[in-house]
Amino acid sequence: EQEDLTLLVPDECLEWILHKLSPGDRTQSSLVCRRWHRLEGRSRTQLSLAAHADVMPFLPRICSRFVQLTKITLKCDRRDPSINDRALVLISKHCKGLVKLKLKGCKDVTDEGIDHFSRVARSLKKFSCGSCGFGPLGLNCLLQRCADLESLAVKRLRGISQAFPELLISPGCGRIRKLCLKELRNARLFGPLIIGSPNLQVLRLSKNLGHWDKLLEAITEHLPHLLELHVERLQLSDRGLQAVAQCKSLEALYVVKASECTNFGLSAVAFGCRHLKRLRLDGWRSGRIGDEGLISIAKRCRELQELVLIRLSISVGSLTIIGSNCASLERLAVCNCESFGDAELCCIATRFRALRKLCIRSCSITNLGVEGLGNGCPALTRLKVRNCNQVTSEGIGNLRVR
Amino acid sequence: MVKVTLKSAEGDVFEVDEELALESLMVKNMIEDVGLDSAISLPNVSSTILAKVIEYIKFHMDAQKDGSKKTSEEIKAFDDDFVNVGIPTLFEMVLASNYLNVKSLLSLTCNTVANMIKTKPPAEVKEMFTSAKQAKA
Repeated sequence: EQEDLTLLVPDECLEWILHKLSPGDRTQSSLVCRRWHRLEGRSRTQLSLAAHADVMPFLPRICSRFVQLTKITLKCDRRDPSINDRALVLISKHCKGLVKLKLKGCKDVTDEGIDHFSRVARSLKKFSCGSCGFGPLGLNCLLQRCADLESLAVKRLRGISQAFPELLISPGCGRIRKLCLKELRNARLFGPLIIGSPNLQVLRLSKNLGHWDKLLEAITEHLPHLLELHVERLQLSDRGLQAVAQCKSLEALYVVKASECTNFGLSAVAFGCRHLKRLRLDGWRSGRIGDEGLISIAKRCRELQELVLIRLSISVGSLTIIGSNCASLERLAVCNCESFGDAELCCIATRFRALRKLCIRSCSITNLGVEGLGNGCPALTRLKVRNCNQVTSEGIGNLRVR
Repeated sequence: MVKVTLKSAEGDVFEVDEELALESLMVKNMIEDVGLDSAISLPNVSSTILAKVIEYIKFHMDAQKDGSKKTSEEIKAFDDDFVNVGIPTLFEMVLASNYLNVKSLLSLTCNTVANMIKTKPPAEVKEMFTSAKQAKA
């Protein structure tokens, strides 16, 4: 005789258990029996759906199965026809509590669909889109109508209207706190939005065309309270970094593969942004950022907690000062730095007293240097050494013994 | 130290410190409503399970006290051992911690069940939760 033990557990508890599962495991669990199917649908909050046009006839049923959705991701392959405006309207009508929407490759969702959606999506807080059919018109609708919208991410905005190619994106309700712009040909259209969002704390700019120095000057002039700024693969020079230095309360700065930036610009940042806690620099083999810039940082940014150095020429000279000045530095990663060898590692071992996590990738260190770590860094709890040819498992083993 | 009397489904009586009893939000509400004079009866919790719940709360209260020498590894080892029980008992504990409203235990037991379900195909999950009675019989 068999007994279904799950009958011991009331619906409420079973929902708790399902709540602990990943979306994928939840989907599997919904097939265990009718009851699980019903409970899983009733309590699910996140749904990721392939947004192929073929899914449209099933949308009404999908929407009535999942009644509590707050986060929806709709992704369509670049080559396939995607869901259209009607689908988006249907979803927005069913999911009144939608907080987060992500649209990827939905080419057939146009400004009109976003317009309708924005009238219904009262609780939307986060919106992310990439390679979709709509453009500035749609984004403006969202920004104007969704008063709670605080996080916006836009990648490859395609739907620039032929009639208004210069249509700017306006701040709308002005509530945006986090903005990510990626791979845009026309990122400058976002200028008014950035400048007009007084609550903006996190700004991430990556691979956007155009020259950014002037725009950054305008941005930092209007947003002196920015907390986090990422600039990656932008046409940006020291003039841009000097503008960044205006953000006195900046806590995190990522300068990745901005090949025109030099030690001079980094020094300006060090003078302005005294409260930096996280700094990531990727020199992209330009060789223009190195010891000199890092020494400036070490001398002024004493609150530094996390430092990531990629493709830079660094030596004992700067590391010594970082070690003695930045007493709260607890995470350090050094990647692809040819100049980083045993002498540098030895310096870290003796000087970096607060270091908890250390990651070294593709550097010219040897077993000897790694073993030396055993005598220093009293707070070290995690060490990751990858792709360093002269370090063998034996060397790591010796460190473990200590 | 004020004592609270808890009565299990079978009518067994457990006398515990008030501080410990208050960790159950359900008991806490009962005490606020009816006071400490009479025993608090818990008709939905068997003696075995109630004893386990008390053991769990006691361990974690001791571990949180100042001067406790328990490391996070020891606490984790206790938790792992605590939920290392048969599926029926585990489900009863989920039920009891939900009824008694002990958030940390509910989270621990639900996590344990969730870990058993993870990455298993539906048929296997079904089998896991039905074949146990045969094993018991």
